[in-house]
Amino acid sequence: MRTRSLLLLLALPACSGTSTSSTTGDGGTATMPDQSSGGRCTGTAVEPRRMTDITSCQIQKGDWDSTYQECDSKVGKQSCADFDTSAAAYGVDFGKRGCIEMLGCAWTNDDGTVEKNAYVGGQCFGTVAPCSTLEQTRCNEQLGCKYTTVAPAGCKPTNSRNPLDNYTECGNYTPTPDPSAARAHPIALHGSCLRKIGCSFRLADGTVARIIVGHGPPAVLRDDFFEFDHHPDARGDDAPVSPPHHPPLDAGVAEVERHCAHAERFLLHLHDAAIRAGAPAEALALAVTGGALASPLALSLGASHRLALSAPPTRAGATGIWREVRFAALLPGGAHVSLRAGAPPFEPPTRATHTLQAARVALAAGAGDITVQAGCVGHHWIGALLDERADPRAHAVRWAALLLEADTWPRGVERGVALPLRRADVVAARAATGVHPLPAGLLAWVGMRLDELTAARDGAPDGGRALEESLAAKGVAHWWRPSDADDPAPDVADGWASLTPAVTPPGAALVRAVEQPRGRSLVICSRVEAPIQVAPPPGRWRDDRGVVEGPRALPGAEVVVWHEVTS
Amino acid sequence: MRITGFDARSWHRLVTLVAPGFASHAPVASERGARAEGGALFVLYQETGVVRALHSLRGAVTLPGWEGPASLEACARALQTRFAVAAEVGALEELYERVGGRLDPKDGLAETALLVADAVRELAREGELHMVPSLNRSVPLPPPEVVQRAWDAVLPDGYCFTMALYEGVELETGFVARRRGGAVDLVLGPEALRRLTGPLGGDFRRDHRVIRAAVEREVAPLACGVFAPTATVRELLREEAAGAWARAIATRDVVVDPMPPWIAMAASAGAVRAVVSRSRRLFAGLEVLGLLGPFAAQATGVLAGLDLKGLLGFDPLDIIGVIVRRSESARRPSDDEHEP
Repeated sequence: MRTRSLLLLLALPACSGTSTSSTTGDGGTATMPDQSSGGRCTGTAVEPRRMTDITSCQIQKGDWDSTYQECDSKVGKQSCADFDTSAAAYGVDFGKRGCIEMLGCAWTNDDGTVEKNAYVGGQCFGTVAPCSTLEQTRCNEQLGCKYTTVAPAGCKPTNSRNPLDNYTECGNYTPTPDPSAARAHPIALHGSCLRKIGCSFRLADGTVARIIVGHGPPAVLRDDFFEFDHHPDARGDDAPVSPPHHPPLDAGVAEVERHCAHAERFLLHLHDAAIRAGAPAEALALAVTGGALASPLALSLGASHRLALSAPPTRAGATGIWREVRFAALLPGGAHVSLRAGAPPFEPPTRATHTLQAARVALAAGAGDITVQAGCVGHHWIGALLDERADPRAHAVRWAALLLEADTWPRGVERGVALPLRRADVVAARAATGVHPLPAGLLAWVGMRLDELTAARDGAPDGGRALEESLAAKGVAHWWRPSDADDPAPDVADGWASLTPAVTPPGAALVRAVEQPRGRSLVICSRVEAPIQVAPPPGRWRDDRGVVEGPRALPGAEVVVWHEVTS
Repeated sequence: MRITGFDARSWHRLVTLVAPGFASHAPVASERGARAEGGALFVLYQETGVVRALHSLRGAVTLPGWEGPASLEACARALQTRFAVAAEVGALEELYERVGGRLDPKDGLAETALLVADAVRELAREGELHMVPSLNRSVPLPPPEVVQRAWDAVLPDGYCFTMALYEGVELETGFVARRRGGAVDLVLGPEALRRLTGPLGGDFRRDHRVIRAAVEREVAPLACGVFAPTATVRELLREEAAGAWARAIATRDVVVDPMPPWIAMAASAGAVRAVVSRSRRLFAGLEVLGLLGPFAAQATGVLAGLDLKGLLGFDPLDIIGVIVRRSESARRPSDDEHEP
């Protein structure tokens, strides 16, 4: 589901719209969600043994036998009704998502409407680029082709063990309308279609998933668009504010609050206008530019509205991206996050591999409702995934693979330590950065924390920096959460803070802990260049390669998932 | 302006050619970046105290050795930083104020840039802004009319400029910039170039004819084309010795086709003059081979008519050289073999 944003961009050369998927889990509370009705899962789940490839088998909860290359139903047999249990235990969204993903099942809402897998009814179209026409690099990217240096050297078709690699016509990747006759899962077909050079995928319906209200993203320089009001000529009858707003702090605080209120009124007016114009309220997201952790506007609106935020650029560093995205993804109202596949020409250039790494960090941090910025060249960004003729560039395949992989990373109830972020502190810090008119949001966006910017000021809040660093060093999952408490204290969920992997060297990994119906999972993302070692916490754990327990080495920016083995 | 035909790799190669400090960093390399040499330092100060010091790679930093703006260079050196700006509290606001008061919506890019540069120089002269290196002393600001005249000489209206840079047999990066209506309206990257030219042979000494023909056929008449291996151009930009460009052009390490008058400047007027007058010994062998003949003949003819250094008061390549050499510690963009 999550991959739909990019994949739709790849399928629609005009890039005229943004599509997103449903969001991740529920904001990191430490309690179980309430039970609720809201629909039920109906239909007959297709037997996993009908699946002929490993991806389809796994999505259909089968057990892939790599020796005989077949899908075994015995372990993973599941009925549609099982998702009603999941919905009751973990929330309707969770149950619905699993139900819709399971081939043969459909979710019937209370109002009688039925939701099915969006890829069923979709179509894979185009012309597969034959192996013989591909040069070496592209050849090795193409499913079912391999470049051989043995004379006569060239790009040759291979007979892959995965049947989905070998199709020579795009139409073969079109999911069959009758699930009971399917031999591959629509999600797997969809992914393979997009990885096949020359093919594109068109979804059956063009439902609007997300509408972004406001100026951006991308607005990359200013954290709010009224910041030019610092210019004396733009202040009208307002009294001038002496830079750099300290000491005393009061004038600066008033100025930041004025900007924030102005922007908030503007966005809410736009929001209301969009609803009056018929836009579905659940699809709206309010654009807040710059670094969310440094934005009083994000803290004001994030409690009640979904925000549209941009993931920081690669220069913010793995930790900076992780902090911002964790904060955004776990805002009470949720957030739509824009990942960057390129950069505007006025920014320092970014290599495609580095943008991929940054996206990997953001996805591992829990970004579930996403758009890939610069998905096509129409954004006028350098490094778009589609070139001027709407042909996918080489790294488009890697993006598709990343999004497909990230779709398998666990989603559920976030566990760990929620660090409080007081809006008053953010306002005070912004007022006291001392570097106006350099925008604090921009500085925060390139990895400078507000507490760093304000560290020299007497009485500046420490921003919980020491606590954050100690948690990171211990490998405890944590994130920032808006809080208005006068005396904020971290919210430590019972038992979860001790669920830490052993990381060598300490603090070299970013950790997310997720509770889901099948048990507990840890998402571990390395944040340094050098290889690191991670070992699971006490108990029986299986990593995403299927290896039970044991340490695992991670090079930079790689992600590994450990699942607790409960039986 | 329309910029088209670049992928991330070709854009990265092109930009880091003249600004190596902008080299892309992986997110996991941020800690290494914080330890690395280079970057830029910004200091906001009030009298003798530092209000805030920000480093582009290390974030907020303390400056224990700060003793006022006179110590900016020492502080930058202590942080292994070669570019630094110190602004007195209120100087940035003052800069905005002055620029805002003088801007005219009708001004072009060159006029606007000159106006901003002029305001910066004023503040520097008044002691509110300090820079390392202090380019303002060596770079005079010519009036807009002179810049316009130089610009007209470099890229006349209706013409285009192209640069094609090779790595081995691959067209690695490059661009075609077209000027129309007084401004650059189109920049094409290597993807677009490849589409214009069709398959290339892989030798820039031969391909330049194909590229020139394609560009003139599809885009606009070519005012100047530069064709060379990327590594050669990078080395030439780092080269301090005069005559390096002339030598490279003479030995066809760099092919310039067509060769406009102002290229004589880029090839170092001093070196060319040396070739044709008193320093014949320097390029004697080349003369014998006839390699330099056409170039030298053309260059001597145009030097009397146009000398951009004389016109502008500074050598633009010198400025690029200062930036490139000072950024030498930045990672070279050669470690991207896994780039798609």
